[in-house]
Amino acid sequence: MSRTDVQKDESMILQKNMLTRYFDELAQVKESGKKVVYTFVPGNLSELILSFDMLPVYPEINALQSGMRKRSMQFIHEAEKHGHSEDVCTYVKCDVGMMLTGNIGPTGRPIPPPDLLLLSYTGCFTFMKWFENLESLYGCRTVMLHVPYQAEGKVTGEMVDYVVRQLREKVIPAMEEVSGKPYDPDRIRWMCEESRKAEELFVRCLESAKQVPSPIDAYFGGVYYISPIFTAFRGTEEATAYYHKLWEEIQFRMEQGLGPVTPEGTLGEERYRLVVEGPPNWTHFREFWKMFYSQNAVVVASTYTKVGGIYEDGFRHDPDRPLESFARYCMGCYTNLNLPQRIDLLVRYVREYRADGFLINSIKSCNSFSAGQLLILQEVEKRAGVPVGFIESDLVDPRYFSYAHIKNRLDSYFQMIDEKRKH
Amino acid sequence: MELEAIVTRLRDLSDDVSLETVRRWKEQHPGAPLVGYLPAYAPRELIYAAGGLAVGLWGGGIGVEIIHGDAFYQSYICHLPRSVIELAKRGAYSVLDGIIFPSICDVVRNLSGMWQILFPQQWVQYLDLPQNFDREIGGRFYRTQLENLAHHICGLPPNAAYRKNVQKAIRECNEQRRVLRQLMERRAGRPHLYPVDEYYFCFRSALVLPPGVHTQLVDDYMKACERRRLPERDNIRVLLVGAFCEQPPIGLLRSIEQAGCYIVNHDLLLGLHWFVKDIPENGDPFSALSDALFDNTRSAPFKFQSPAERAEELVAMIRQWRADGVIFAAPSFCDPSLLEQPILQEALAKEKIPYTSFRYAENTGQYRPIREQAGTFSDSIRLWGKEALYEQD
Repeated sequence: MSRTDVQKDESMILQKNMLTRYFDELAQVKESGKKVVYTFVPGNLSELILSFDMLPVYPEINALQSGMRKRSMQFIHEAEKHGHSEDVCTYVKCDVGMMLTGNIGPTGRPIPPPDLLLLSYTGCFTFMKWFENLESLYGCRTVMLHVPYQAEGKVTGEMVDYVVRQLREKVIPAMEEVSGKPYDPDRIRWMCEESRKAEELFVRCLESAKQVPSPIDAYFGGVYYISPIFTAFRGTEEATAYYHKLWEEIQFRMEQGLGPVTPEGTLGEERYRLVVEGPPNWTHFREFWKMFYSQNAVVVASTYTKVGGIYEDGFRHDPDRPLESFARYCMGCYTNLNLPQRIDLLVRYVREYRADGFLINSIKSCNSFSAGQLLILQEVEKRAGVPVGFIESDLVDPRYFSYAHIKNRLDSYFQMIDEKRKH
Repeated sequence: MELEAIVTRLRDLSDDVSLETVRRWKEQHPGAPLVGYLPAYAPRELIYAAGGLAVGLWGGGIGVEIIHGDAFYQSYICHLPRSVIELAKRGAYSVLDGIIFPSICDVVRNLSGMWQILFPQQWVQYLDLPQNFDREIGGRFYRTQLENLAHHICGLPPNAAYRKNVQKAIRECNEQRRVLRQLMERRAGRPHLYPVDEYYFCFRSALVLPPGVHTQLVDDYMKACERRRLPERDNIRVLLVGAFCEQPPIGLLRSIEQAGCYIVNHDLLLGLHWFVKDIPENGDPFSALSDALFDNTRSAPFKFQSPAERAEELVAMIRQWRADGVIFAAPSFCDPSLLEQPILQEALAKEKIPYTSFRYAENTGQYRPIREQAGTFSDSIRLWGKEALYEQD
């Protein structure tokens, strides 16, 4: 690995500036009078929120950023003092704890309280309980968008109608009321067009990992790449510009045969290509990542980068049918897929991305991902025929991150891949 | 039938997690559909209307040693799906034609997909209970699901004759729910006459019996209880909240009662008593089932509701059932149940209503700590009164 000084790519600077402006805007809502909508990443309706000139806040993003900045433990303690069990989702506790201690966000600036809680609960039941807690703490209104689960592995016309009617008759009127502005179909059409452009580029970026060596890491690096499209920027020109820039940089890396960028520079020889299932641990993100890149392991595809939408099968936001495309978008997010669909996707990733192995990072907090993962592991091993590995950690509770344990397991896992190669 | 014989039968039925009763029923009703359902609620009427039997799969409890089930779940997942898989792997559920997975949490939801892989010979229906309660939006979506479910059960789309049978099944289930409500009221009035284990068996036995047979059995039990003489204890009265899915072992319920707490209302086996009013017996039965889901059910951890309303409902229940306090009993790692506790506890604190809480698993074998906790809770209320618990505030 070349250990040159870390050069920030232009796309990284672009993203950093976007986020700074976003957090500035949030900190200034009192002055600007902008309304704030809390919502979740999976199945988020960024275009809709932004079209009303409201600002979205994603509590799970705040929680993961608190985790990365080593502040989550104090928030979790605070929530547990408030009566939350140690058994439950630590994103919830981190968010509740942050609120109880003054709602100072990860950047050190205050996060404004919500004017509306948009509970587009896609692929996770805990979201519902999370927002019940926030409604109780903030005393603000919740609007529910029930997104049906793809239990039979498909989206039916009835499911689309159900979501579209909720959007038209519940969600949009609530947003009109809170923002004081009417629904603007022209603006939504324009924003969906921007989303479509960004989605097109985003797919190219992620699929670049099919090349050997991969120019990107689609898990650790991937969490940065997904940020604009999964959060407050989808549907904006800024997001499209970001993905243009990112795609340019990736193309350059592909042409040069370069590996992914890591915190210690460009990865040298690519030794292991992995598909990873499950979210990363945030409290020890760098150490966790290093366990991979220090072994020259690259994650070529991950399911975590699909929680905010799966685009590689051709789904795009549709300017001509925006509400229907919102519905299909929500229902298509990874955790809204049934287990057979998830397994099919993973097996496909192993094959298409020419992976040497499949690894699960099972998260103590997240039943939506974790329940059923051991069966996923067995099935992928059976069908894809690659060595499989299993490690456990948590999202933002550092008590559940055991460095030695994970390192030990990963080292054994890489040895297993080596052994498999010999035969 | 004598009381002792009734209780023995109720207990045997409740312990029948391997579904021997159901197999015998199947032998007597060849070709009739047998459909299992996971917690917490399924529209059983659709199964009875097809001449079939609905079978509640509420876990294996304390008596099932987990050998296969643990291979499918990490340590931080609740216990119920382990014992469900365990029993299925042992063949206990092979008699079932299909299984309904209601949308109560991520674990049961994901189990529906696991089932498709592990037991492909059985059909699976995930019942996505609507969270939009507008009849024209959520109602329409739910009615479609009910019709699909009926199609699964009968193998054909529902016709006029089937719809009439659903109406009949609604009547039968209403009767069953009425007798269970009556039992709850009688126990709340004179809890000492209906020991908690027997009372629980009255509910649990419903999981493996046709509703008519079960209704008669519970009715017989109540009549027999009225004639019995048992000493009344100086117990406090509590609501048990949080056990809507995975069930606590019966020994744990007994321990709570022996420690000085009569459970006068609860969400144990919630689906059996979730409807607070009858489901309309006339008109389109699919609409009746759907409308009743919206209008006639109490709050539940898996039903979207404003926390203020949920808290109000709990406080109203405490008044209605003349409870002295609340015991929050949630299964370990149960997000739906555990995540609403802080909201409910805060509401109780505002009303100066005492509460205590603990977690359990269906195979919890040590009751002593919980008995001591429940005993202290009971003593503190009996000796110093409810208000005293909040005097320090």
